[in-house]
Amino acid sequence: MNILDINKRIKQRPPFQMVERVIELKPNEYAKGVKNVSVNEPYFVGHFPEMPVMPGVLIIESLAQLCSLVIDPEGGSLTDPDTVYVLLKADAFKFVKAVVPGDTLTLEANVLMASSGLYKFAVKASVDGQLRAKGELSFTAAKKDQLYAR
Amino acid sequence: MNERQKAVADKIVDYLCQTLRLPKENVNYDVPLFGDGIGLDSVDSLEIIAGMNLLFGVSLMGVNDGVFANIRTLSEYIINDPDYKENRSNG
Repeated sequence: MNILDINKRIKQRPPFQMVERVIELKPNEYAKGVKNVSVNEPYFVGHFPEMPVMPGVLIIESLAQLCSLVIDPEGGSLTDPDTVYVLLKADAFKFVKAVVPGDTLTLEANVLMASSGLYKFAVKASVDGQLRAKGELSFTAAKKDQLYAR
Repeated sequence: MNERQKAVADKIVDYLCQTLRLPKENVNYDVPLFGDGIGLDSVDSLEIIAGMNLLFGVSLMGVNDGVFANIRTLSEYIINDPDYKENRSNG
């Protein structure tokens, strides 16, 4: 799956698009993808000056975007423009080693549970086969208008 | 609580401890799950609903809040649901 195919499935766009290629995809089961970390990323200006390190929350975002490509519920709610899958929970994250410019981040997402509109994934990010971050991410289906209700 | 309900209640205890990372010593059949008890929130309730569906085949979508009061009320609702399956696999 190249960037054009990814664009058909997720709504994030630059500078907030964090999966650039999908190497393997089994809907509702597993995916493996790639995010190249360039020194030109806008967040490196401030995180940190003279010491560019990819923020942990953005590693989580990269993994979350990969997860959203795995989600393919029965009944075709993906084609329903009023339903979106939102990040619900980030559990037990560990950031083992810093991710820096020049790294190719390999992202993996394994479905742990899919039931009653809730998807839970075990996720990990690695560079050159070495673990950099891991944790669990949960998502749920939400109606778009509910997100803005106050 | 009869044996059948107790078996379900014990599975719920195991599920909550594992999925929500609760210490087992804090969880019993009667401790309130939300509010002043264990202090679960609306995000946790979605995980309970998903887990009960996987473990027992029972849908708790739109069910009265009282069912979620504690593990005793939850297990009682589950064994009396017509969709309840005793040995459903863990998916």
